[in-house]
Amino acid sequence: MPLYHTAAVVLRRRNFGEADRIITFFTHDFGKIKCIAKGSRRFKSKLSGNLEPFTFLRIIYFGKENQNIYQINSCDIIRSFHKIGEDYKRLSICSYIVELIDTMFKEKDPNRELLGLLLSIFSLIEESSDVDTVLRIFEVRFLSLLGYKPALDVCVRCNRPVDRVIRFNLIKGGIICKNCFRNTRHEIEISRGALNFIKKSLTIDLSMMGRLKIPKGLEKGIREMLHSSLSIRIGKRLKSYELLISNHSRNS
Amino acid sequence: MYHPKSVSTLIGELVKLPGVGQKTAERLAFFILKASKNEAEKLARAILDVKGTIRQCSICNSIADSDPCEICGNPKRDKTTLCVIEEPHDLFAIEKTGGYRGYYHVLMGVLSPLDGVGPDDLSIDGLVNRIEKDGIKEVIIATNPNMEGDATAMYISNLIKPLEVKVTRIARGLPMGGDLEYADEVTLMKSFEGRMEI
Repeated sequence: MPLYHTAAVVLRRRNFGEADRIITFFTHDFGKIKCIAKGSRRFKSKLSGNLEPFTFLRIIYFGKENQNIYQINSCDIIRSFHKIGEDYKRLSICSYIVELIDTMFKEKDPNRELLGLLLSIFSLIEESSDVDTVLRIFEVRFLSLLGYKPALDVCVRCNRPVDRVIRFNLIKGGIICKNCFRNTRHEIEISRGALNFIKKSLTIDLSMMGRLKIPKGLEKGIREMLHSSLSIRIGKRLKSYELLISNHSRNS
Repeated sequence: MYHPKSVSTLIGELVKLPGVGQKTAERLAFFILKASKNEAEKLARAILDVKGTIRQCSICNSIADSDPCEICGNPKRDKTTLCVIEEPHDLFAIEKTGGYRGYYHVLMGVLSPLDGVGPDDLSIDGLVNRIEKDGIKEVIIATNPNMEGDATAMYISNLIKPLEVKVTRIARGLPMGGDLEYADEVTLMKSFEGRMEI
C-alpha cells in the first residue's frame, strides 16, 4: 500500500468506534479526503492534539488508491489556528466556511488556490477584529473559485455597459441594466457601495485583505446578497449558517 | 451463517451496541445461550431496571436513580464550588478520582456549529440560575480540552463573569506515564503555559 505525503487543513472530524476519529482534510495535492485516525481520542495518542478543526498540518497517510477512507500514519502541525476556538463567533464563522467547502467540493478534486485562500482567511479571522468583513471577502472569492464569479462590468442579459446599476440577478450572477430589469425574486436591489466592495474583494491581494472594510450601513445588504447567491448553488440549508444568523440576531 | 431464529434476533440486537461487531455479537449471544437461565434473567432484568428507574436529575442534569441525584442531595459537599461538564459520563470519571467535593452541572453537549449545536441547545440558562441562586463562589469549567470544549468554556466564562464569580478552567498538559518526546506540539505548548511553581 502506498504512503502519501501532503499538507492539509482539518475541515471536520467525527468520533468513530471506541477511540477513533474520522477526519475530513482538504489537502494540497489530493483535494478533499477522509482518513481514520486510530486511537486519536486517547490522551496518550500522538495524534490527539494535532487533529483539531482548522489545523494546518503535514500528514502522512496510507491506503489503496481507490479507497474512500485512508488511515493516518503521522502528522505534524504547521500552524494550529487554536485562537479561533477561543471565541464562539470566530468558531461559528470558520465552521460555516468549512461546511461550505465540505458541501461544494467532491473528494479528490485538488484546488491549491482554495487552500491558499483558506489559510489566509483563517489567519485573518484569528487576528482581525472585523471578522464579518473577512467572511464576506471569503464568500466572494469562494463564489469565484466555484466558477460563479459575479459579473459586475456589463449587464448579464444584454451585455451592454451599465451606467446606473439597480439590480443583481442571483441566478445569472451579475448586474442588470434598467432596460433588462424584470421584477422577479431573483433580481435584488444592490447599491453602488456594495458593488464596489465586491469588486475590491475579488481583486485585492490576499495579504492586504485585512485593510478592506464594508461601508457603514451596507453590511446587511451585502450579507444577504452573498448568502442568497451561495444558497442557490448549494441547494440546501447549512446548519452552521443557521447558527451564525441566530447569533447575529441575539447580539444585535 | 445459519442460526436459529431466536439466536439471530439476539445477535441482531447485540450488534447495535457500540463497539460490537458481528463476530463479537455472536460470541456474546452464545455466552448467554450457555449461561444458566437465572443468569440470563438477571441480565434481562438489569437492562429493564436501568431503563425503568434511571432519570435525569432536575438540578444538575446528570443521570441518577433518584431526583435530586445522590450528589445534589448530599449536604456535606462543598456548596461554593460548581464543576461544569459536557456529559454525565464525565461526572463519573471525575468522581472516580475522589479529589473533587463540590457539585456538578451537566451541559448535555458542547457548542459545535458544524453539528448545529448552539448555546440554546445546551443547559446554560440553568447554570446561570444556579450560580445566581445557590451562592456559588467558583465555577470550574471541565469541558473536553478540544476546540469545541474551549469555545464552550470561553462562552460560559464571558457570560458568567459579570455575576462576580471566580471562573477557572481545568489544567491541561502532559498525561502521567507519558513521554515528552511523543507529546504533540499543542499539548506541550499548553503544558508550558500552565506550568506551576514547585
